[in-house]
Amino acid sequence: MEKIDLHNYEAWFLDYSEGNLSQIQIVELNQFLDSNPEFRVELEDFEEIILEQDSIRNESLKASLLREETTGLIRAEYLMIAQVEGEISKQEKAELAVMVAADSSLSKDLAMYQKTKLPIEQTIVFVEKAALIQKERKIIGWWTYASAVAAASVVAFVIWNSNPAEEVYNSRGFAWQENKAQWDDKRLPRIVAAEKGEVQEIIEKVLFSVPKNQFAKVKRQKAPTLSKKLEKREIPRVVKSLEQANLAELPNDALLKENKAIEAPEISMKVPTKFPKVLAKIKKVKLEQDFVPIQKFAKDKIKKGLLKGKTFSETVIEEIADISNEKITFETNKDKGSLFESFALNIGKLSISRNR
Amino acid sequence: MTVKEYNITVGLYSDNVFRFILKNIRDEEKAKDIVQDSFVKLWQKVDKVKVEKSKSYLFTTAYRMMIDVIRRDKKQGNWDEVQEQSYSHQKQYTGLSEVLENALSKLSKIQRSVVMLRDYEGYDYNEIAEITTLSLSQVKVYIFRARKILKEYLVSVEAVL
Repeated sequence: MEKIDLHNYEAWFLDYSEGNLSQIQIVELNQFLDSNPEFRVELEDFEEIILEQDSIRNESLKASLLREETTGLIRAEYLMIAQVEGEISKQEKAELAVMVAADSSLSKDLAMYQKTKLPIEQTIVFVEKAALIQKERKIIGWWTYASAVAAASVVAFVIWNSNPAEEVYNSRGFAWQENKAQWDDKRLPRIVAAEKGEVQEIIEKVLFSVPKNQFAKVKRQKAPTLSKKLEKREIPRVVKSLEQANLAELPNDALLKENKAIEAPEISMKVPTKFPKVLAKIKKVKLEQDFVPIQKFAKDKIKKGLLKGKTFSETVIEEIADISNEKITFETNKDKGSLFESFALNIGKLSISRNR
Repeated sequence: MTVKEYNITVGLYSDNVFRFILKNIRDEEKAKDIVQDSFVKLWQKVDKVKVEKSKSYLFTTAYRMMIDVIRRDKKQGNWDEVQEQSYSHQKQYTGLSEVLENALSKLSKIQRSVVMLRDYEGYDYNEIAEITTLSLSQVKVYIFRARKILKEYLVSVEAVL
């Protein structure tokens, strides 16, 4: 840089105001001003001009350009949305009020933001609610299940030993009939319940007291329908004999006699072999379906209930209620704050209760 | 939750869940399926879900099922087609509602979901975060940006009218 003189002093003044002079150069500048004091005023003016330029900075403009950190929105937008969202602090609210007062366009924007709130929608409804409603069912605990097992045994014993000779059909169409023929346990069909491994075990528990020499006679089930064409042409005689063979229509004495037929693997009948489907249908109508041991009957009923998703207790209670024509209820009671819960299983006048 | 409480839940929230899903996926049959499946799941967990959490459970389940449906439909490439053809409710709206309905279609799916959870169901940011498995700040960002888009759409419509 050239030495300061009357021709280049302005460049020196500018560098000085911008802080570009070294300490030596500043000393040199001061020496120049000492010898030319009239320029000192000019330097002061120069500095003022620089300061004036610095003050041009518009803080509000700067603020309006800044983006809010989380949302990336400019401050005014952020505050307006926060206002609509109800997520605005008192400070921010005051800040927004100042902004809106200073800029009339913001009040219009704010009104527009208010409109972005979705109105509560009631026109769309789910019309299939009824399909979602669940039937209320009592949930019975494990130990009440044990109570039900005990109760089932008691009731079964009472029912099956009270008047075994009497034959009364109940609402579900079955009655009990004593048979003197002894049945071997091994002959009873085993229940295969791979998915419900516990089924066999629990059924055995409930049936341990049921006499094995008794049979449930189920009201005649309709034989599988044969097509009219086949009935007319080939097997009218066979169908007729099947109907006659149904034990439900026979007198009791005949019934006892016919019990022997249960042991036969199937009824022997002459059926044209060229109708294998017909033969298969007829084979299904074995006497065992109409006249079954109590244990098998009960096992089938209970198993069916369990596999349908009913609890064991529900199944047993339902069956016993039906067989005994007694009202069966299950009650639980627990006082607030109490550690004990009381349970009662009522079968007609019989009540079994426990505390836990 | 008891069976009675579950049934009350059906009465209280099935419309809301259905509305939320329908407005998102715009396919009535799929929305029905999702509602039914959500309630089946709730029923399966009826012993574990507390009644006060049932609404949140339902919306969370329905939302996740909806995302699965959207992904599946995207794979099958028929999402846009389904959206346009099967949604007929749009015509029922008038005035601002109709404009807002159109404005909603300008939002991304996630923005639409969070805004609807916010406005229709009145969920706070934490609850929305729980339902959508987003972070709190993400929920806030989505809602704020969605509002900005909605507002800009309203301004543009106003300018045209």
